[in-house]
Amino acid sequence: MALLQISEPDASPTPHQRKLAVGIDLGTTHSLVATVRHSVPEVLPDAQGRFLLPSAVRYLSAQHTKIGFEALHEQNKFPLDTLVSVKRLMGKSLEDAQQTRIPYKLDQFGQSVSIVTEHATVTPVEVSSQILRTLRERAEATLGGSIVGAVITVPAYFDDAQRQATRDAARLAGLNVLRLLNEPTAAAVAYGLDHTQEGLFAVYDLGGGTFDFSLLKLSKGLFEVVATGGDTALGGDDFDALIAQHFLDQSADKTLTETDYRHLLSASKRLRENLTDVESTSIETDLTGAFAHLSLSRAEFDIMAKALVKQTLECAMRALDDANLEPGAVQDIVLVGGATRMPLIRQAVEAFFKRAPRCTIDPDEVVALGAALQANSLVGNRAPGDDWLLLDVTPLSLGIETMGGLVETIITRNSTIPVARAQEFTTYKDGQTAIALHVLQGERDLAQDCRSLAKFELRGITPMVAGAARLKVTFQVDADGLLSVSAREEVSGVEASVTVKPSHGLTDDEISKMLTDSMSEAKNDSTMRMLREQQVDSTALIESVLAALLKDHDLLSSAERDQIDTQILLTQEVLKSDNVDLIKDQTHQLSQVTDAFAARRMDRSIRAALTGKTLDQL
Amino acid sequence: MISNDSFDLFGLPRQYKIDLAALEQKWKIISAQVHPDRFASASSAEKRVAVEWSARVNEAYRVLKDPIKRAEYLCMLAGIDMGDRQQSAMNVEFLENQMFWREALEDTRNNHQIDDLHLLQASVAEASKTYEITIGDSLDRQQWQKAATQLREWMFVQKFAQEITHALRALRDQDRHIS
Repeated sequence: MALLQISEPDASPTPHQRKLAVGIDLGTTHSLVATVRHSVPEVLPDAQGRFLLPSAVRYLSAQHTKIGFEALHEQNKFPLDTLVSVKRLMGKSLEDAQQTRIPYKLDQFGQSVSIVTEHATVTPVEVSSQILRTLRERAEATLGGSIVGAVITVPAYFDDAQRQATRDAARLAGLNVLRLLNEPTAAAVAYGLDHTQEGLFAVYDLGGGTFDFSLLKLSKGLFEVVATGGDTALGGDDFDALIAQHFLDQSADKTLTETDYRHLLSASKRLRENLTDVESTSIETDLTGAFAHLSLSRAEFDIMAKALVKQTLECAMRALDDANLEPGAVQDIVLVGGATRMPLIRQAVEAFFKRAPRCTIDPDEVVALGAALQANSLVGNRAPGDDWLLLDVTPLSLGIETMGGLVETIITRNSTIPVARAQEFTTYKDGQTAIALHVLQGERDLAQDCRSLAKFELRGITPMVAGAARLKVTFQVDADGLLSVSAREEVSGVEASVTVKPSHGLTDDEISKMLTDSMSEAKNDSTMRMLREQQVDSTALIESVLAALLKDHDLLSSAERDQIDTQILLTQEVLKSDNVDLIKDQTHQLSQVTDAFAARRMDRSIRAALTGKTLDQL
Repeated sequence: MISNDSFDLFGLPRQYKIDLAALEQKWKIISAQVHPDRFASASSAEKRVAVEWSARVNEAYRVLKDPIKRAEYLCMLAGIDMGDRQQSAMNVEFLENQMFWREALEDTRNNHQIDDLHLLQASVAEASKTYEITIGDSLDRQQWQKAATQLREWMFVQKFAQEITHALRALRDQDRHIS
């Protein structure tokens, strides 16, 4: 049946104008890739017709891996070489990673964490990039061309470090990330475009390792997230751990080896999945003794799981509180994530909202489908009249540590993104010439209870009496939910800015090294590849400037126009060479001379918008 | 270039009483123009401008849609510094009433009297509504100092209203826990 969905790429209506773009759901237990062909999104299957790719990577050596089903099939034989649920380790420090109870051997890697398998030591970013690469190759094989860009989904409640790690993984996998999209928002797009409805929507998204709850206002052509809540360490895996614990409690054998515990978790997962359709179940396992034969009833499971379900509803309640709304105000609830198949979840959600939840789209596929729609729209494939916009929010508050270890919030959670906000601070000592800034994310009052994102210093301040300096700190969160911070001391005029590289992330050098390694591994000529990427970038810039000139040339003086024309010619000229650095420098020049032009064009489009056009005319 | 004034940005008159539905509509229209998603395949300069503009539009909308922040913004445009300590002395009658309210909040909270808490919430909401009307009038008559004095009181009242909301939520969550 899956084969019916495959069509030849040249069967598409406008094969030469369409750019190939995909949506990828990089999940804790499995991942998917979807794309829009013939104006509907579809999940792309592998050669065997399977849609889900288990997020499992087995390392035979540092260079040689087996991915997905191939890895999973032998998980029982190689439990410690087969990495699953690695998403839970993304963007974590060693200390945080150890608290996830993931039964792998972990080690320090720079400021972040690595997993030590028998045959390789790898970072969660590298493991994730293997999964992403497999999906990219699947899409390219099916669609018959290279992928222009991808929208990759992340849990809405992912913090800055986890988002950066996801971006890094995509980069390693050779993907151009068009946008990081929040999973519940992606699901809303998939549902919203299907049903063209208006009103307040809730998305309850329980995946393998994360829980998200988002409230969205839908109106014509607009998906506006009003509040989001969640827990990045609560998912189907935790229910499995409860079942495993239940059997451990019952048995005399309280300590299992890591390998045996891994087996017990897999068995627990099978039991839980079986209970979706039957009232009680029993299975044979690969373990011995008391664990050789396990059985569980739904009633027993429901009692164990009650506390976790309650935790999800508390997240939902907090998001509703933030939006000043009652559960009754929600017109429709959609269920996302494979773990929402548990009957207990459906009953609890229905009781909480006093309304039956919707699950008309496969809960495993809905996120990837929404991401594909967004990717298709971002590369400009959207059909006329099929116009819509997503407005998302920041899940967590962002601030700066002040005297006494307190946090001064600069951007509050649930602010619509992109957002930029500035706050003034001052010095507390006479003659102070430097200020250390500690950037934090979280809702707690004390810096030590929040996630530390970055530390940087502003030096060279003119010595002044305490309190005289005027330090303006600006936080900006872009459409991917990623933060950058800049600081300026107004009296001395010194400035510093950082794109927040999270304290527990990989450094740029580490990423570059991995990138080079992965290229040589694929026997690719890395310089050729860099040249090709730069050529694509530069050509795209020239095209976009030419298009802008065609439309808005009257915004430029003849001198300005000459300058731009000259730079375009120069760029076209160097593009004929194969000198990456030269092309890069020249492209930068062209980009610089078009800065003011870009600002004026934006200004014009806002003016046009204000003269009374409505949203659906734009 | 479009001026820095947030009212101008949305094509609204610079005054307190504004049409909130029109504000929301304009915010959506402008967002649809400037959002980075519209520039996903544009040059890096255009991408940067889009992020900056979207952020500015979102911030202006956040300020104008909130009745207290809008009043504060109008005072700021008129050159009044709301953080000026010397100007922030409160009138005695107001402070006495605040103390009375706070005691009431403590009592109801300690005795778990949800109904009384709702009554208190209603009277604070009513006071808040009165402030909104009188401050709006003062602002639109350009009586800046008078508006600023009342606004300082209103901010206190608003903070207190939030405390009531938190107390109510805490009691609600406690009740859930028991049941």
